[in-house]
Amino acid sequence: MSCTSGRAEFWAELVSAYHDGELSADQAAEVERHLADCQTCAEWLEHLRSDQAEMVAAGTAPGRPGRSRCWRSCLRPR
Amino acid sequence: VDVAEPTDNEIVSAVRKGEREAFNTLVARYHPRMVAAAYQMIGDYEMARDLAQESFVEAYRCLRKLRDGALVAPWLFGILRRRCGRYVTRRRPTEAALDERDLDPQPAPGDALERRERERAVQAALMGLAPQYREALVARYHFDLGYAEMARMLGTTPDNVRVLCFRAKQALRAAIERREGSRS
Repeated sequence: MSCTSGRAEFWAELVSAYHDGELSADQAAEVERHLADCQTCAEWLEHLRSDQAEMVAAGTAPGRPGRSRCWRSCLRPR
Repeated sequence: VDVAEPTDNEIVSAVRKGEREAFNTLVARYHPRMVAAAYQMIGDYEMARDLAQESFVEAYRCLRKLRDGALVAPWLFGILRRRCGRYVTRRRPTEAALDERDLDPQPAPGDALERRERERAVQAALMGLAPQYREALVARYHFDLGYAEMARMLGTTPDNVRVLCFRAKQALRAAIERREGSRS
């Protein structure tokens, strides 16, 4: 299955910018109309959202040791 | 009573007025994402904590250089990015190093184990990407930097950042799919 528009790369990049909140209101509305009709691009957006969530979780995984040293100790005169 | 959190700008102003304790608020606000960002740029959690700490010390000492207190997030990320870059040029991260350092001392049960495995897979996929892709994803996802802010930091245009972010996301997705494919 591929993008219904026949311009897969164009729309994939636009959806990526939409995911980043970097489109104007008009552009965002255009993307939303396309997403309603194109399962491939809708799935791409879902992947972007889940990859973002998993990447953030992987960087800030619970159970990791917290801050062990106070930054102030580093400011003491040497 | 609903007490509003101070803005970054208010915190920076307080520190500049000599309220050293105000810097603690800034550290508490940004420490988790600084460590996470460093970890995802270099692949070594202990070193990431050190680099985040060093970045805060540099930030405190150089606070006068920050022209707009509201821009503390991109400024902190810029300091961290330079420190991570210097570290990476000295020692490139490897997947082996990541796996050894990331092993949990206690295995997690059930769903937690599955979630941890998934997080490890994403982290490993991330570490296989080109450094500029990792950096772009970290800037977007941990610091919520916009294309214009990233463009200023990287010395390029917002349009180029838009393409960079797109390529980085594509590369991460492909790396995750490759890892999923190799396990099934």
